[in-house]
Amino acid sequence: MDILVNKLNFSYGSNVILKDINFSFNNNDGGKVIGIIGPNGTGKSSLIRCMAGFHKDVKQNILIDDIAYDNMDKKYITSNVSYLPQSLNINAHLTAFEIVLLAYKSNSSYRVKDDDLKNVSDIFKYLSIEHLANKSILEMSGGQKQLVFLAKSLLFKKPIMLLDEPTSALDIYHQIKMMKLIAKSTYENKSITFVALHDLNLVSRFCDEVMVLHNSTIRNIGTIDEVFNKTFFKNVYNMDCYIGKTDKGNIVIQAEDII
Amino acid sequence: MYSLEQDYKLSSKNKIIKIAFFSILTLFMFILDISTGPLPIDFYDVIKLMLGMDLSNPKYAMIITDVRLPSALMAILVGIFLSLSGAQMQTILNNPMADPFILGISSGASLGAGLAIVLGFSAFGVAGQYMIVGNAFLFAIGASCIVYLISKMRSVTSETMILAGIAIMFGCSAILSILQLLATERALKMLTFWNMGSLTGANWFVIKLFIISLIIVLPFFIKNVWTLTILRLGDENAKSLGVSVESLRIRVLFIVSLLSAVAVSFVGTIGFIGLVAPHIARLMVGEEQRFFIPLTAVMGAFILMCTSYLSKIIIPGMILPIGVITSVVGLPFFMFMILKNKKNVF
Repeated sequence: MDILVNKLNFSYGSNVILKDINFSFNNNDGGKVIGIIGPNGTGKSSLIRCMAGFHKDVKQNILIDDIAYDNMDKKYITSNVSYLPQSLNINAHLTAFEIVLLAYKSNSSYRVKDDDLKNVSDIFKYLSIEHLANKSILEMSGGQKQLVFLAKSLLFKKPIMLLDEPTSALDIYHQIKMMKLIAKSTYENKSITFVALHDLNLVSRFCDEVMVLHNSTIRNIGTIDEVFNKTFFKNVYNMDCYIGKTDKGNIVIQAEDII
Repeated sequence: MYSLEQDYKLSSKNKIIKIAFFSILTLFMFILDISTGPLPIDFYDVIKLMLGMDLSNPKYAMIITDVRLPSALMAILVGIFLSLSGAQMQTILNNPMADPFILGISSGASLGAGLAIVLGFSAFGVAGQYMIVGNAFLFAIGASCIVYLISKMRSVTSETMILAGIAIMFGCSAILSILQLLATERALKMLTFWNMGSLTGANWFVIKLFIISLIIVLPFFIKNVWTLTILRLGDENAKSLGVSVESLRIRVLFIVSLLSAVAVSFVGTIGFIGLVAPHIARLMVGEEQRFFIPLTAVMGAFILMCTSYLSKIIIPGMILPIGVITSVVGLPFFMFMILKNKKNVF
């Protein structure tokens, strides 16, 4: 499977959000995690929403296996692409289990199948969040909600996953746990996973490739080694950064000062 | 063996028990309501008649079948209509303050009724008994059509719909104020009474009309129990699961308009039920709509049944307008619910 974004331009009224976006990724050599990074307001979330098929105007610019979204049945998109939104401000009286179960029920019968219940139950075990299953979403912290919605995103093992800042509300332990689960599921299912992230250390640690958005357009696409260097951080983030390696060989980025 | 699946199944069973419990309670209130009135009828006589047995006093049978039974059935149906409308308004607008009338449906109906009562104007061209009803219905549907058109011009989001509804409410009440200035004393009194809401207009023809409306909308709710639940996760999550959010909103808007327009045009504005019944149901069974919808309907019927009973016994020999009782009785109960669940009323 491959996903191609071709000459994508997107704006809200006269406000240009994305201009001339072109890239393509495939899973021929197995799954890969692609980090989408860039300063605030450069269009990371908009790009992800476009790829989720939410914006009619750009549907001809996004293609899965050479077929554009606007020539595709909507069900085909939703069955191949999963999306985890950035904002999980949900005020429904539903438990985590009920919410994840809904992933099975968008287009199906009144009754709940035993198989579906078992699969939902399994995904809670897979993420080791059984303790959250019967808790109401209203009583959950931001981080817990992110874990529950990750469960919903991982449920179907879809070939394309779009995750918009999935770690933004998590503590350091859960950030690593979350990213490990995302990576695990990506490689097991040979998915192409796009993750918008602000934490550059998570990007360097977990992403196979990184796509940099700057001034509404793509500035670089490449591996961490190719992209991350001092000049890059200067130009994109206006930051003076230290780049080093840990004993285990992981790249670390420490912001030293604003330029 | 303990498992999450079993937890879910057990909690589903509990929810069904709650729905059954309140259904039985509603049935009890239904019989109690029929037996209550200026002429008290024995509780068991009512049950006997329901079961098709003859009563010792045929006069009682006539009172029950011609007067009290239609009025009690009407209470149940109006309760179902208004609570379902309120629940789904809250769902599509993602707003706990929403009730069936938030998009101007009742203002439209009041205006329609006002035009008929004060000016004798009939939009349908029908005079007589159903002139007020016809007008109220037409204007109520008209109000939601305007909401739909305005939303369609911009975007079908809850914000646009609520703003359009508020505009309609103000517009209608301005015209209604002018009508009230022009009205004769008798017409003014009639209009006030109409606005209070009353079940006195119940008869078998109206009941049939209500039941037909219910039969028309029920398949929609059954078909959409899951998509409506998904809508509660927010537009983006719903879209990513393949729900056509905008078209679902529009379809619900029309269904809800039909239900509440039918209710409001026959019984006037009965407030509070559409707000409070869904809230109670939500706190009891959550928002998985295959349980939420039935319990909301049962709860609406139950509350209106209780208020109908109260409206007969507060001042013996006189039936108070049910719309007034609903608010008076509902308010303290509602406050209690809010205070008890400080954190998560919605």
